[in-house]
Amino acid sequence: MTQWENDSIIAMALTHFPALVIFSFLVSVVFGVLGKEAPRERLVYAAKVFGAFVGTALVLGWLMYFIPR
Amino acid sequence: MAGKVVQEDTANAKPKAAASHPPIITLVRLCVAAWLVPGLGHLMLGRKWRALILFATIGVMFVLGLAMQGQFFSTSSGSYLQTLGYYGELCVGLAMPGARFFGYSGGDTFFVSSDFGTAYLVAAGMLNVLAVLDCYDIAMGRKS
Repeated sequence: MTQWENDSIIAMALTHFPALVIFSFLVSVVFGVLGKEAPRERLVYAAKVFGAFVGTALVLGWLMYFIPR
Repeated sequence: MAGKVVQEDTANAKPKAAASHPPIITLVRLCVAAWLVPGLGHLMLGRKWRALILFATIGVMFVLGLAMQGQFFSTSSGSYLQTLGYYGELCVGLAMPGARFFGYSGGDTFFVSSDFGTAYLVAAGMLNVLAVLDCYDIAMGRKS
């Protein structure tokens, strides 16, 4: 067990949704920067990718909710 | 007639395009720099803002992966998926050996957010691969 693992400030516990939102945000920023040239196009593309990430996850999550275990 | 003109144009265009490419050593240096530090390749090409955004975004993603006790894979397990994961995480460059140097032992798989953390670490590597490819395209004149 290293000092790193003992340090409770560094260890960060996230629930599913915040982890999803942060992940989607960071990935969509990179996709926007790399995928388009003009600043406005980048913003729109990044917003679309972010929406697609979060929306797809929510839809799939609700679909799975109705599937019996 | 028109076919001849097109043929002549393409014949003339090939040497011009080849001449405009940077030397192979420059391309290799650029791609290695872009791999080692996210955004460094773009910085060398003069794309300062893009470099800053890539560095910040990929860096934050990697650090969040570490904070969530994401797992560092190894090649010694014999599992193909773990080996793929190892190379995926290695794609982020110096950050992985850097984290090991500063005492990160490779994550705690029993920690509640460890799976998310591992996904963040691998995704940071994959995003850096996209950044390296973008850097290569800019150097080759395919993108601005």
